[in-house]
This record gives sequence, C-alpha cells and structure tokens, in this order.
Amino acid sequence: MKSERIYDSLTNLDDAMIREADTAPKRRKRYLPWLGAIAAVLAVAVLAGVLLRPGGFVIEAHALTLPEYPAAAPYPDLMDYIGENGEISDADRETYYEKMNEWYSDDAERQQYRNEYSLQDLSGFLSKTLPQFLGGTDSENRVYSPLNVYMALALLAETADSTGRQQILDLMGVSDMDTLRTRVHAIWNANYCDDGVRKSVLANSLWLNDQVNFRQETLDLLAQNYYASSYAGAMGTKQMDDLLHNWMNEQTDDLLKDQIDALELDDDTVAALVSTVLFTAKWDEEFSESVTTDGVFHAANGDEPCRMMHQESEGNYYWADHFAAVAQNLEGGGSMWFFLPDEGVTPEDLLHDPQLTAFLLTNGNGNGIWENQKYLIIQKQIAKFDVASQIDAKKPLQELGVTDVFDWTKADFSPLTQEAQEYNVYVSDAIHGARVMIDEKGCKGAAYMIILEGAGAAEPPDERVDFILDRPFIFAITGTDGLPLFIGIVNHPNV
Amino acid sequence: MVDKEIVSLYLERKEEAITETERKYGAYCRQISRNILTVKEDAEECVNDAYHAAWMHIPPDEPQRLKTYLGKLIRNLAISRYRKNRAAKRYVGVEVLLSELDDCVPDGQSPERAVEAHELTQELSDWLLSLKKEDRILFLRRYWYGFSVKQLAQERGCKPNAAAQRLYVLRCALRDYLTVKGVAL
Repeated sequence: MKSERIYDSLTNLDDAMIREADTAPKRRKRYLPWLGAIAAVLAVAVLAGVLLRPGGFVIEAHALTLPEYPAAAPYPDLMDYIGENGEISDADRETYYEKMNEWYSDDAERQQYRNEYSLQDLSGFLSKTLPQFLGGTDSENRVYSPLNVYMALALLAETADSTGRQQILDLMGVSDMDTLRTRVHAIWNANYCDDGVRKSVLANSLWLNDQVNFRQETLDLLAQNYYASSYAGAMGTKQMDDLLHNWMNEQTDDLLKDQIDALELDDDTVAALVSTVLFTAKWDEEFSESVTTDGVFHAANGDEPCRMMHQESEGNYYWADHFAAVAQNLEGGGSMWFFLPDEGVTPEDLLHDPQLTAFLLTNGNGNGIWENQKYLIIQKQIAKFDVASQIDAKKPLQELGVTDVFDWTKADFSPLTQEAQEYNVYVSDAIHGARVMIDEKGCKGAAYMIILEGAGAAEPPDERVDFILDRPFIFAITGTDGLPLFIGIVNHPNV
Repeated sequence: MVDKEIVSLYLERKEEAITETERKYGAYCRQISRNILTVKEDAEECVNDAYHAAWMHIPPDEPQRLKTYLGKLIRNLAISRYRKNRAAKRYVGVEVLLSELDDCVPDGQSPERAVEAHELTQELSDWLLSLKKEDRILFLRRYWYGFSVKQLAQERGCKPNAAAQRLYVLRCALRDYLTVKGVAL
C-alpha cells in the first residue's frame, strides 16, 4: 500500500518537528484580519554613503533605472476559505490549491538561493565588523545590521575601482566581482520576502546629481544584480532631499524618520548610495500581555524601570564560557536570539568572544558543533525594548582596511562616472542607522484576543531554568537561512 | 531522572533503565501505541516490545532525545504488527490513518521519479516546514501521534467536521506537493 510509505517516512522526521507536535497547541481565538499584519518585531536599518564634488542645479529627480523585484506570492490562509459551517466548497478548495502552489513555487525559488551560499562565507566579515560597529558603546544602546552593511558595501564595490574596490572585497571575504555579484544576488533573493506571513524587505537605490554623466551600464548592472533603483535630480535642493526622505521612509516604514529626515544632500554631492532593510515578524508563541509586569532593569549606570514580559516554554537552552542563549522563534521562520552575559561579563566583552560569532553563524545547530545545549522548560523574563542608534560607519570601515574610497587622492569611482577623476569623487560620509523593538505581540490590546490553554498527553521535561534579561544583553535576529539580519546591545530598554 | 541518566543506565546494562523509562515515558508510549493499534492488549505488547528494542539497540544507539526515540520505535513496531496480523485482526487506528494518507498519494498522471525512503522523509519535512505551525502540528498530531479527529477538534476548539475538513485540505495539499515534486510512491 502506497500510503504505508508515507507513514514510514513520517516516522523518521527530525526530532524537533516531532517534539513540536507532542503537546496540544494552545487554543487561540481567530485574529481579526486587520490584526494579522501587525508586527511583534520591527527592525530597520539604513546605510548611506555620500560622494562629493562641486555640483549644479535642477528642479526635480527622475528615475534612470528601476529594478524588477522577485515575485512573492502571498501565503494563503486556509481559514479564509473555510465557511462558518466548517465546510469548504470545491471552488474555494481549487482556489486555495492554486494560491498554495503559487506560494510553493516562489518559496522553492527562495530555498534554491539559500543553497548558493553558506553562512560560513560571511564568518570573516561578521567577526571583524561586529566589535567595530557595536563596540565602544559604554552604556548606550547600539544596533547593527550585518545584512544591511553587507549590501551597502556591495553597492560601493560596484561603483569603485582599483585598490578601493579590493579593500572592500577583502573585508567582505570575496575573491572577485563575479563571486560578489552571485553571492549578494543569492543573499538578497533568499532574504527578500513579503508574503503576508514574513516581511523581510530589502531595497537599494542611488541618488545621482543630474549635472554629472553616469555610466548607464553600471546603473543597469546595479539594477539587475542588486535590485537598485537610480534617480537623478538637483542636489542641494529641498525637493531632492524630500524625495530621498520619502523613499527611505517608505522603505523603512517611518521607523527611522527622525534620523532620515535630518539627512541632507548638499549641492556638492555627486551620488548617494542607499540600502535599507525592513523586517517584521510575529512571535511563533506570543507573550501574554496580561502577565507583563513592572520590572527593574539593572543598567550599568543604575537601576531603571522597565516592562518585563513573561513566558514559560519548552526549548533549547544554550550556554558558552561567558554567556547563555535562548531563541524566540518567529512565525514563518527565523528566530530572535537573546544572549545574556554571565555575571561580571559585559555585552562589550562578548563582542570579542569568538564563541558568540561561532554561535551566530550556526544558530546553535551546526550539525552538533554546539554541544552545550539542553532541552528544558525555560521561564523567560524579557524586558520590552525599543532601541535605535546611528553609527558613523566611516571610522569602523577605515579601521577595517577600507581606506582608499575615503581618500580623494586615492579614490577611483570611474565605474560610476567617467568624470570621477575630474571631480575627485570620494566617500565623504557613511552612516548606519538601525532600530529594533519588541513587545508581546505588536498590537495594542491584543492580549484579549488570545485564549491560552494547555492540554496534551505528553509529559513535560522534568527540569526548568530561569532566563531573566534584566541587565544589559545582546540580541540577534536571524532570517530563515540563519543569516544575522540585526544584532544589538540593549543597555536601556527605553520602554 | 533526566534522559541522559536513563540512557546511561542502558549503556551500563542496568535493568533499572526499563523501570525509569516506564516511569517517565510509559504514558507517552502507551498513548501512541493505543492511538495506532486501538486493540488494548496489542498496544500494551507493542510498548513492551519498544522497551525491549530500546534495550537491544542502546548501545550502539545513544539517543539524545529518548522520548522521540521511543515514539519512533513504537510507530515502527505498530506498523510491523499491523502488516503481520492484518489478515487476522482489525487495527482500526492504523487502518484509518493509512486510508486517510491514501489521499496524499499522487495519481501517477504526471512524470514521477522513484525516491528512497530518506528522500521521501526529506520531501515530507520540507513540505511540513512550509506549513504554518498550526497546520504542521495538526498534521503531525494526526498522522504521527495518531490522535483522533475528535480529540484534535477539542484541542483546537472547533467542531470535528472543521478539523476533518482541514486535515483533508492538508492531505490534498501534500498530494499536490508530491505531484509537483514528481515523487513516485
């Protein structure tokens, strides 16, 4: 009997998947449709590199190149097709299959891209940039998006030449431009998703001075490999700044509006390269708002009040020489990791801990690489937070060996414009802004939308552990491929 | 006693291993066995067979997750028992499960390729991972753990018809997925 083959093959599924189903799910009320899209985790990052030269004057910007984005069919919700009587009509079933197949097809394509690179390809980049971008914080919050900076550096490498380009490739751990294009294209496609369940939207653009002649072949290449739009207009005008702000705010859902609206393109600007990431996801297991309590966060410079979320769940508890780690899974894939430094160890100390980078690149799995883990009942207490930072990326990049593009005597941007040497084009500024916020579920008053009820035949594990984030800690949001999208230090939860 | 200690007892060939396994996972094993075989005496024998199999296979096996290790043994032993005795006995649980899983079998109208067991497991795993968690758990609680549709409906707070309908849609979705992937069974 053919169905016996399915039965047999189900038996050997991965243990984690079987464990996930060994207790009855908590019963939930249906979400109102408008609540479905609201986020529990919102994160955004921006990096802008600004190149300078004496400039001209025109009124408004126009698009030179617009990329074609990959398809992302929406994930159909079965409940939308089932009637009040619990039945589904033949026509609705057919529609559901059609939508499901469209989604499968797009998702299969995304999965193919994930096979084209390994997280280990980014290990050098991550271990070098992590302390540079997050270090020296003292007692401030700091957020860094490795994915965002990687994308922005790829754009910069395409527009630069000579040793400037090579220095960027060295930092990115890439041997040549063909490898860079293939890898970044795969990373972009593997991480770009807006299917109604997951929202991980990457966007790139170039803002060009229309008094300068740019190489169309480079703009086309950037559109094709990096999905970068190119716009030309009059630098130093309010209209151009507004257009830039509108584009960036739209891509980042207004989360960094204060920072973005303060950016100005003066009339010496030749071009601005912009890369953005917007990430939104709901927890797989939401926190109950009704059990969130007032708490105390023991910051480095004194105690401060915070709102503490509570949740008890089964899962893997990881530990290393200087930290413990726990994951909170995200709906549709990916996780948010929380790293609690041991007493007497600061988040800053952990940035230099090779175990942290190793952990980030294996997501605690790595085919048994990470041995110190135990499946336990974990009593989580996590301070709600909303943290943002703006980092001057020039100094960290220079310290990491990317120097020539910042030096007008050495910079070579001839791939971008044939007039590069004439105007001594170089990178004048590089800014990285990022913000991450979490809460119980991301929507006001949604606590009463959920009925939590435990039931099931299986026995829970007989051990439990408390995981209390009430002192400075590190977090990381990883995508479905395990790539760290955002990493940050929370010194003040700010909620 | 934690799993590691119980597994150590097996490794040290101490009979307490069986007692401790029964103490910790007896109810879990019995639940799966009864769900699948439905005949109480046979389900009980199946659990004892699973303990015996664990005793025989640890070592060399050294399971990290004793619970799922035992669950897998039970499922394998239950289907073996069904295959051996199906002419003489009615094991309603597994019969119904297999008959429902028939819905997942591609109709053979599209190009197909023969797949090894581990490849089929991988395809099933990929498909399950693509589901929403709620659907994945529902499917596995029915077709891995063998819980009744009625119980699953209670757990979800819906009518049995709605749970059955949802399972049907998922089975058809799996059939379509296997068809698209060209899997021959």
